[in-house]
Amino acid sequence: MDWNHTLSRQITQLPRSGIREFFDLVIGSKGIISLGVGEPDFVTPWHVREAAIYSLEKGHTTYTSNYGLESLRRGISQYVQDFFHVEYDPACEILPTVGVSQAIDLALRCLLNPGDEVLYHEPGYVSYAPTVSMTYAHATAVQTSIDDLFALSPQKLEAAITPKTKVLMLNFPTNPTGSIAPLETLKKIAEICCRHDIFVLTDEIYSELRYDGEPHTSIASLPGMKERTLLLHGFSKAFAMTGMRLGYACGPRELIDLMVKIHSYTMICPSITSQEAGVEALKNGRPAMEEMRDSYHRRRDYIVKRFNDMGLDCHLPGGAFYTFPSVKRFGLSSREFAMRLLQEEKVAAVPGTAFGACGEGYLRCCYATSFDLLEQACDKMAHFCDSLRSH
Amino acid sequence: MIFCLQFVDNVHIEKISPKKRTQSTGGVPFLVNSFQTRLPRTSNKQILPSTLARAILPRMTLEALLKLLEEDARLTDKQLAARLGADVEEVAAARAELENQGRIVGYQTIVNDDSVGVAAFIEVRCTPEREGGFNRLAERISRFDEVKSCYLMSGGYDLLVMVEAKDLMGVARFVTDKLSSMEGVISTATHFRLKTYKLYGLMFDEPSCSERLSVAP
Repeated sequence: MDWNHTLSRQITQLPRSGIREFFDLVIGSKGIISLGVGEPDFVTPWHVREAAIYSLEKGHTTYTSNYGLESLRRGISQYVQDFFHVEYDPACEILPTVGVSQAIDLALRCLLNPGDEVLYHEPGYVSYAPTVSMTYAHATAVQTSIDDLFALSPQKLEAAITPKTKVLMLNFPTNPTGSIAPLETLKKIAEICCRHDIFVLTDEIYSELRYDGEPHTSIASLPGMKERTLLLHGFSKAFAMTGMRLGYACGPRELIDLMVKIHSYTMICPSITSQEAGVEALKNGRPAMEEMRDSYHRRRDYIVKRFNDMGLDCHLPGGAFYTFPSVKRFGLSSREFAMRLLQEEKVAAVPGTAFGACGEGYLRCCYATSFDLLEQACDKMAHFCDSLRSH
Repeated sequence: MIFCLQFVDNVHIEKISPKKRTQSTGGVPFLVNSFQTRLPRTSNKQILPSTLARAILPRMTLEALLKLLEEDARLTDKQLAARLGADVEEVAAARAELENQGRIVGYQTIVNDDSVGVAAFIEVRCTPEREGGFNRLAERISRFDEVKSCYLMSGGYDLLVMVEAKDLMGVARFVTDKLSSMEGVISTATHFRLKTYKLYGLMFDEPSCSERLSVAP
């Protein structure tokens, strides 16, 4: 078989995820304490698991409508109205998907023509640029820096806009930096998008996990933005349901309609078990979610203090469950630091470069792991920093 | 073996004064067995929201302190302080105050002894007294070493008494010789424990959850 001829050039030329490369290294090592995960350390709350079991017991094992269960869409509509203060019609403006990842894929395929340009902020989630590339459009990173606490600078955004720019992808709170966009920044970004007629895909999967005391504001809720924004959210992070693979998109009917067209051909629907679990999570999941959020909050405060104490300069991230400490003062690249930390201390943290070139000099450390392990990891990292200083 | 913290969360429970307790148990009232330490209280305050402890730590932090200790009573004040973002001295003072107030009752190890001893839950019906209701009798029953817990209940009986003994005859002897013959006890109904599934919020024989990937996006 001539694979060069057989396989898609577009996909063959797509770079492999930097996180995947690091995963292959870690998976071969034993006794590792990992700060490299990107999911909660909580099991899905029992009442949600029980609802999933009950769904199976009743024999609910069929397809659902391509739009998903009506009860789920109604629940999402109410939740989004209460939490994001944006109203969406459950009949035609909400689409349950297999995680936010599928929603991003659907939306980009529905929005982009070959040659269109998409802006996204870096360091950012590993899937955005490749998913844009798969639509034969072009993804352009707008770099963020510690100077703006990794929030997108409106000036840099505007400077990156070209006549071909069609879509802006946002992710606040951000994976991997935990950063949030202050309201004033968000307003300026919204104004720029209106002025340049740019559509916004906003991935707000971490929005419940905020620790700065400010209420979360979605860009979709700002004046003039609902009609040009697709709000993406889901159950994975705040409700600890990553394995259930359930997310949703809320937006203009015209876009949702088109997304359903692809969805009906390629996915049909998320599993009915997950959808019924989602209904239960929306109905009764808030107390467990708040307890998990408070637990992350304590761990964030702990790890950030420890990092700064050991000489890893680390800003206090406002949300998600990631920290993004700098390793620059040790004179090693992100990758070298992460590799040596793994080899010498058996602690896994992801090099910042896995999330874009401007992640150089940083590590992504996830604190969604038990306090005992965090303590051990911090002790080992402090020991490693001391050893680097003494050489 | 898991350590746990017990604390009283019910503000309506009427407390026994340390003085009274000491008098009736001969000076070593708190050492129930080698695994359990009952903390002495130096005052006889009602268990009300812990005002002094709250002055030392904010309410949120105080509740977080109790939660951390409930999950793992072995945590040192230093560890607690690091996890709460507080000073060690503040944590030590708040903990001491919570102990003193009786909100933290003691520190115990939760042992799975299903296969070792015998345990029984005994429903006790009794006659309330004109002054004090069921309290005096409940306190007398609670003082027996065999009694591990004792609750005043609503419904078809008055006290629920949890008893542990080496064997079935040990429980039988306790019921016939000590409990049934007490003045004021009208009747007892004894139910033997067959298996423990959950105790103090901890699942016994919890199946292990699937491992997370070491690195994920």
